[in-house]
Amino acid sequence: MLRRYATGAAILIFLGLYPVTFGATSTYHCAIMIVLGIYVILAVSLDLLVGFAGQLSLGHGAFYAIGAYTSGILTATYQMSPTGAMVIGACLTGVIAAILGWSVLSLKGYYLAMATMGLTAITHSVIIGWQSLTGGASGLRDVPAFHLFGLALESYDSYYYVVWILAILVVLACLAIVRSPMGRTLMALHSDEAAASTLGINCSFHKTCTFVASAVFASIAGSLYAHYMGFLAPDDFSIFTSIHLLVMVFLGGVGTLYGAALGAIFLKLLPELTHTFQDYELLGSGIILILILVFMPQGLWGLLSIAGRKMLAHLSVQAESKGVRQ
Amino acid sequence: MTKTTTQLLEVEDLTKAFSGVAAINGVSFTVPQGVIKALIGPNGAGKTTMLNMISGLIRPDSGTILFEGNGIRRSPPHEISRKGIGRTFQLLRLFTTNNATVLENVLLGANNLIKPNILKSVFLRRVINAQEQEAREAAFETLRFLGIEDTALLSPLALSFGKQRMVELARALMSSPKLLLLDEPASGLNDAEVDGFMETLLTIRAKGITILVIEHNMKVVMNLAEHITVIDFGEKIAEGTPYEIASNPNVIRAYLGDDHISEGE
Repeated sequence: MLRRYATGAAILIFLGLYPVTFGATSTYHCAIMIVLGIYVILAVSLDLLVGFAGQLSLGHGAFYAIGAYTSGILTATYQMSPTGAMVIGACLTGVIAAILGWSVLSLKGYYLAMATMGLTAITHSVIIGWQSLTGGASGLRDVPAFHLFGLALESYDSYYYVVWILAILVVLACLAIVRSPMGRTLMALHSDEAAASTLGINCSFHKTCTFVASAVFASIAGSLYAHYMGFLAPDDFSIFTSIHLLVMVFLGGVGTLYGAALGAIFLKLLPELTHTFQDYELLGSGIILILILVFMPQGLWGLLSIAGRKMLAHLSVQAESKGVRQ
Repeated sequence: MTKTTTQLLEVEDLTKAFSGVAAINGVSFTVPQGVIKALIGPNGAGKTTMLNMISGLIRPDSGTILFEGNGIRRSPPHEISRKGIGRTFQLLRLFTTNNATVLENVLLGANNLIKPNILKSVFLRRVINAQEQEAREAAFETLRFLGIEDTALLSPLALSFGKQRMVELARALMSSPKLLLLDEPASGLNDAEVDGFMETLLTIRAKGITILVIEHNMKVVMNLAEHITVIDFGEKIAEGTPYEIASNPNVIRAYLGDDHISEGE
């Protein structure tokens, strides 16, 4: 228990001091952490749906896009405040997810994966086709920087805090959900819907609620991305984004939340380290996904926890043998 | 002492066909308040289909099901559970995803009590934690009652079949049902376990819970059930007390075939 608090505190201190320590060396170091924060939100919220409610979604990129474009359009074209635009984007996403989820999630099986794949395709074509609103294939320009209470957060290190505070809040909300009786309910319907329903669990209701929550979080990540980039291109929100997010969740370890965050950080840092392989990124993700599913279904987080447990066991054995010798 | 005649469950003229083949054909029976009632019949007679229709997992083609006088034929399973019908399964259906424990399985029975949802779990943590604490105490009490308290933190997969059955029973009891549907609860239990189980059923009934049980073990049926309905090939062939059923020629024919009757005579 104490160890858990210590780890949490260490992560918070690292994140809190990052812009004045590592981040201070170059703006690039702060910028990359902003992207990581956004992807942590995306991956953790997707894991809530995939790992806990057991619903495969290929539409996470679409909700990310809806959040990004709603924020982008409302602030760039209509000069709305970024917070207001973010809330409107989240509400719009929530309504779309509720309608889609309500109609599809009463069915069992992988219908959600197919429906969300369709949603991603539709969203992508609307963005390209509705040129007057979205800027079409040439992109949406001049999205203003985030500002809060009239205070513009134009520098990366101030925006960094906005992103990471929201990322931590999202992670905490997801943890609160999965560690409460709600998480148990999701586990039950993931395991056996018929048995769960005979215990009074309304499976389609809970699946839809989880889908909506996860979509709203993705939309918030989209809004954050819009104000970070200042420019939105449709190709950032294609089906490959959704697939890439799923790979992050499975690579990190599905159904753990921490694993998803780890997967997001790993897969976003990798191309930064190996710029030359950028063209092969998708091929790389595909191969990684297959390898994980075959060789380490518990993902990076699973590997780390096994390694950690072994190390602890090793240390305690050493301590014991020392005690015996004395 | 006059026996109460209130009917807790009334099944009238229920019919269900699977791709043209009748699984249940116009069956009617009642379960009076406070009794142990048995539904028996040879394999494939339609007993489990009947239980699945009462608990809402299968929708009947026609007929009515009344629980406490209210129609539940069209209600989904979660609503039927909330009205007070709990059940166990013949082939156990315990939750095992994400290393779920026995305790978590049993706590899921308290779902109707806690009524969790996403907003509540994020914003009303104090409320939900208090309810969870209450549910935990009730869960341990139920596990203690069934003699499997020591298994609380194990995976159900680590338990013997007999204990897994008890976990499923504990889960069903946690939802404080008025009517408990048991699908062959004694199958797979050894003799000692069957005796203990019969004691348990009597205690459950003494708590005011009505029981409808499907069972092949005649020791259980003949000793416990006050009333028995026999079905064969989806139709009701006999009804009565254990004594009446044991000597009913239709029942003997269904179980042992025509030859036995003529030989017996």
